[in-house]
Amino acid sequence: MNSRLAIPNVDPELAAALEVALEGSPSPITLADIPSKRAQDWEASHEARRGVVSRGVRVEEFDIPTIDGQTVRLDLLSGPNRSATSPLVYYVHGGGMMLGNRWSGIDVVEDWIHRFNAVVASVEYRLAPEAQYPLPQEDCYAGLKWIADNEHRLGLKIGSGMMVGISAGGGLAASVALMARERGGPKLAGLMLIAPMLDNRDDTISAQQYADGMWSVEENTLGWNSLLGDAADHLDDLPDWVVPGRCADLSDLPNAFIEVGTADIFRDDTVDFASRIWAAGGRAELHVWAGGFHGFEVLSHTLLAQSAVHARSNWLQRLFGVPESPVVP
Amino acid sequence: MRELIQRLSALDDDAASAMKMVAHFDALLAQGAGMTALVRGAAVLSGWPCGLHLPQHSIYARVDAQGRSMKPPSDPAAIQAWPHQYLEDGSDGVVWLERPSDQTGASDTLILERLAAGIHLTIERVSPAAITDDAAAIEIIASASSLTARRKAVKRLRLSESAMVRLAAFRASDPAPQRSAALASVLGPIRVGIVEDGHDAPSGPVGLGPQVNVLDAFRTTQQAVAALAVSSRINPVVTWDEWGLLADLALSSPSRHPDVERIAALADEPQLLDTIEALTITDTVRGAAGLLGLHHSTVQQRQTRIESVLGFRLSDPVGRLRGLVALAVHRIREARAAAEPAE
Repeated sequence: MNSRLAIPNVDPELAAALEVALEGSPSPITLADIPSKRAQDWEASHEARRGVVSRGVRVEEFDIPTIDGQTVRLDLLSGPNRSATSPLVYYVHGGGMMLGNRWSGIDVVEDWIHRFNAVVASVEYRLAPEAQYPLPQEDCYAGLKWIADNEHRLGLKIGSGMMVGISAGGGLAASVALMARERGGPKLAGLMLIAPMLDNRDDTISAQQYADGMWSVEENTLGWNSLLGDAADHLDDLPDWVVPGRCADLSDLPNAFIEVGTADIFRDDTVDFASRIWAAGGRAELHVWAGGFHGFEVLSHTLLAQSAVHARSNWLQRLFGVPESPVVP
Repeated sequence: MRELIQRLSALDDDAASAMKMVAHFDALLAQGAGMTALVRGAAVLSGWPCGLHLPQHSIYARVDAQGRSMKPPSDPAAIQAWPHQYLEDGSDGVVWLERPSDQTGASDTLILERLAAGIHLTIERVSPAAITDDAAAIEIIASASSLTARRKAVKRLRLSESAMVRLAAFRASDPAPQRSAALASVLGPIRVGIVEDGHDAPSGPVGLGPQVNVLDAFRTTQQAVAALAVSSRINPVVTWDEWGLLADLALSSPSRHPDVERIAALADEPQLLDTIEALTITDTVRGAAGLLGLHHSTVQQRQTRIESVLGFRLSDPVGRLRGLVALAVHRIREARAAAEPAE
């Protein structure tokens, strides 16, 4: 075995942007950082919400029941031209299972309100380590189930809808898709996984190559341990959706769009996930962006990020069966 | 991850931000990113749309502050109203930054300078210039080349197809300027360069042809050679426009002629030939004395001696013209003899 690990270059434009855009060093997030990081996330959410509303998006808030008798917040975001055919986008935010809120990364899905007249549902699932398996996954499932149970009242059609998750949200969305298959619904048309956090093992080449990357192995381990708690010790006794990368049977999933960058610890798990969907006779489209690190789309001026946005939009045109509207900036 | 990334355009106008901007462009160049990546970087760093136009390469790029492609400005002259910078290679390539005039931007100059330099280096990487390459220059100069070959050569030499130029003929022994090629001529081996309109004329001895479109420059090679032929110590930079028919006449005259032989008889004293030239290109002895830096009585004495050898007077117009052409023909003969010592 080679003593030195060969590592593909980061995309030049992304590398250049990091020269100016990185605030401090990407030191691994620890448990002690969580309160301050969450405070920052909430601070940012106010700004994000103001921005969304200023662009003509209507926000409706709902409290939905959870498996343990609590409620979590779910927002429905829709444009001024919402119609009976507006497609549903069910959004699961990222944040390593420990961070973020329902407004984190909202710009990614807000784009589709403008392009596809979509209605976005974003769920405030409870975070680890305070909430551990199965609560975060069940909260995400509960949000989708609540929409399915209320689709006539809400004027939405779950069967033509799409669930999307970014990073930890991608892992949770994969879990929810497997839960829905196991429980006989809700049945969605599409599933979009963006750099998904699928597996707690970190035993891939990409995890070795980018162990100290934008989302590090250390952070990934912390995230999974925070989510799983004691369950980590007896995963074999638990449902196969708990760690979706470990699920042997990936048949009967919604039409999937899966993307990852080559410079992401999740690269190999993600490619493997898509391969196994195909092997099981499923339909999946896989985009692997050369030189993209975890979260590269944040650097939205780069051609790589623009290409990723375009590829998603292109797939959604095929999934929803409608052309996109040009977005006037 | 997301919280680690701050907005690129939120940089301050301080030294630390300037260092970051320089590092940004350096990183793009180090990894060989393309021209549009450089333009996107400038737009995002400045927070304003930026553009690039390389007319020679038919390359056009314009992006908004979010790095998205934009249509060209409806009025191309608008570029002149924004902060802009032309590439230093004389190719008419330009980059610009669309900051309105009522907004200040301390980083504009830095960004445009790095952008222009980065674009230039990228062009050199993907399409190296040939401005020190004889092969490209010879296509422009030589009459045998096709229009297609000349157009390609114009690109390699980083010239615009609409560029107005003069051909500049030098002695082959002088250092080779950029955009030049060695050429055989009636004066022996020379070097002919292409000088853009508005650029500094080379120092002599040099003969400059008439101003002409670069694609037609090959028609003027003989005129540049004729201008070189009549250049001298006193008048080292000769433009064909000044001499016209006289230069062509000198070049095509028979080298054996009694007038020329009489000039040659004076050639052992080079100051006498200079005196003939000074007397023929000025109106008066005083004017010639000023040109030579001599007292007019000295020039007067020389004129008397010269006229006794020539057998005609330099004080009347026909005599001045006759002396001027004879002197030029003598110098052309000397140049040919020096070029072909075996003759």
